[in-house]
Amino acid sequence: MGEFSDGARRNTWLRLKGLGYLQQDWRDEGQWTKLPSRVKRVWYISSALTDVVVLLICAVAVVVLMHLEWWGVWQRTVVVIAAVLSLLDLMLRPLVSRYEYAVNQFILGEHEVSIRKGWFLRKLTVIPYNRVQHVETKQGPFLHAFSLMSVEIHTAVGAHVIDALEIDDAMSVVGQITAKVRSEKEDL
Amino acid sequence: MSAPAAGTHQADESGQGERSDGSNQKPRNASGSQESGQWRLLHPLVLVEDAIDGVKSSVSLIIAAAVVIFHFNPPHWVIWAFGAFVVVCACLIAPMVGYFSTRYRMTGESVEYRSGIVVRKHNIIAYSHIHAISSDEPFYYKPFSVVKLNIASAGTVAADMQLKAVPSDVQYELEHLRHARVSAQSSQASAQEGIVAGIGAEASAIVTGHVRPGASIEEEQGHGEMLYRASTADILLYALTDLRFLAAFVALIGLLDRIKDVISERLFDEAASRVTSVFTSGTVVVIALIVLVVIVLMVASVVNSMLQFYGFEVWRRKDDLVIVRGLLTRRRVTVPVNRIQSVGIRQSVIRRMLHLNSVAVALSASHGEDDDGDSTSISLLPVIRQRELIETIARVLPQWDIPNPQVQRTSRHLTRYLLFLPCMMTGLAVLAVILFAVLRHDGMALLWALLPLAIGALWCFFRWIRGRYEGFQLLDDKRIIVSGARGFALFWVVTRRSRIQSVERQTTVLRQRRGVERLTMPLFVYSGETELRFSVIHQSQAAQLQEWAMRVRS
Repeated sequence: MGEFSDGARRNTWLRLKGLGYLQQDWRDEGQWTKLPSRVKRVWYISSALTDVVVLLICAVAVVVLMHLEWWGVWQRTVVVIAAVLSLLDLMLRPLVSRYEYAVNQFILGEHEVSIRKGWFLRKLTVIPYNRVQHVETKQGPFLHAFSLMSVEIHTAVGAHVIDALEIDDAMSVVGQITAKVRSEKEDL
Repeated sequence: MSAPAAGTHQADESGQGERSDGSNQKPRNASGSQESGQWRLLHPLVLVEDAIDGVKSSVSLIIAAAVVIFHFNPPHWVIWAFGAFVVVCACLIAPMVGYFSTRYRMTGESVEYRSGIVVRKHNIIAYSHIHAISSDEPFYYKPFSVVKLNIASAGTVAADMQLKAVPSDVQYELEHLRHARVSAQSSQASAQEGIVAGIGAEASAIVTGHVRPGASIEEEQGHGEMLYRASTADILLYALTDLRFLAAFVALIGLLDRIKDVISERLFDEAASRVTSVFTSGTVVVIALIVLVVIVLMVASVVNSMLQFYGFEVWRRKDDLVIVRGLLTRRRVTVPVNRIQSVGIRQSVIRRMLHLNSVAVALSASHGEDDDGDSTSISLLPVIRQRELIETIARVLPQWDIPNPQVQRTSRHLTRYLLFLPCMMTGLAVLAVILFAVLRHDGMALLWALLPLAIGALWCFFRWIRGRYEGFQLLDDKRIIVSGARGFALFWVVTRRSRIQSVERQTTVLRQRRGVERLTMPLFVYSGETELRFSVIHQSQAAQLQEWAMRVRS
């Protein structure tokens, strides 16, 4: 921090404007809204399904490659690495989901939406309302099974997702964002 | 140059029937205001071009079909008839259907285009939403004073309108209509809704008043102010410092390697042995050959650059920048200055050594494909000396008021974070090679370690140069300069805060404790740098940039 403070002082314009830093920090825990805890099960099931599919593909690959007598060093290496990674993911997923859940939160601020994601690799995305093009809700089979809904916020160059909310909350969030967008429209 | 009529029949959508003007001159008289809203056909040249395209696209199909038919059975007359029908459809009927079902018109508010019979397409772009108007005039279009026109709206190529062959003065007509509409909007922002009809008439009056029939591009440009002209020496300099000719050299080597797939192995070995004997016959021969190849590639680069940039000029007309270039195909791009979203300055390795720069502008729209197949970049100054850079940009784009960049570096003392990943990956790859060599008791296999070492060194260098040059300078409440490196090249991009769509800060658990992050800010632009990126940045600096980017306009 001290190191940057020197750098920041060089920025004359900002100093003159007297702007404060860290308006919205990663560690500012008080304002964040948590996702419903059921989302952990959704993450686990979808991840487990992917892992099982990968393990099945590995098994089929082993049978086919051995039948064709192509079971060489490289083939073994690739199949073993894929299988080991899938097994590790399957075993560690409950723990990972716990950490992921603790980080995965959002804020509907006065002028912007903030979404925080990840567990080891963490990402904070801040989208001002006046850049939002449209808002969507989505509900895949897993989210549907747990009565959850995701919210996608689209800008002109991409989409940002709040992974899961209670259905009523999702509709309420869409309504709030849409109202903010209307009040803060800026020309493209 | 006289502009031929857009078509002999022009249908009026209002149901007033067809009008046959029967002349070769597009009418420009007092009735222009009425005609501006009428549907027009494209120039008949498009029929010829589509027919040729049809032949080209059906040739391979016909040959393949003929081979199959002759191989199995002698062709029956029905098959001959079917084949002839397909060829006629591809070469004649489809282009004619396309031609007669395609029309465009310019009203007081928008330009409209419709095409298709079964699947109908109707595209409308309001003048106030036009981001760029570009035209291509291939040499075979010149005798007819016809151009290919591309009208870019915000978004991807899909949002564009392409008029494949229209009289060249349609572009001026469109520019004047756009300008009239935008001027009226800005000066009468609080006007009543009823003004719209008036604007149409006013715009049309401007068209009839300003666009002279048969006026050439150069004559029309006489009404504007020339801001910059690239001399032939400049274009030569551009060609000789264009690293793409080195890429062509690499591609040539790759092509030679692929030859052995085509010719027989014996022939390839014989040719290879002869080449080897030439190379081993003396150093002078080798040097001469290399020089010869380099000269050939440079000549190719010069020819390519001349085709692309010959007669490069930048003009200002009202609030538009007009960029004209090209030897055989004259390309003319008109960009409203207020639609320019970022200005990029770029320096490749060679140009950095020679103190040269290239400047390009970016829009929130594509503007049609140019001769490189590039649909996005608009070169403003292909090559310019360092000492003239800021002065020339100030002359061409005074509204941007770009100073000499003095950026605040973001990765000072953080280079180790940038180098950690490439060093770790290189180390792992080398360890894997060593393990492999030990397990197989093959000492020579250790030589394979040179490959990850070379790749790792290059990766580290790219990361280092990125860290060395990444930084930012906040010019004021609305503009920012960001510097960085992409590959061996350095760049500076000046953009507006309103182009930033979001702020994305990434870190790991360990780096978060040390207050080190990666920051990206995606931009709504379709060329050059599409995001502002800081590979490593202090947390407090990231928060500062976030706060600046999120500030709400007061």
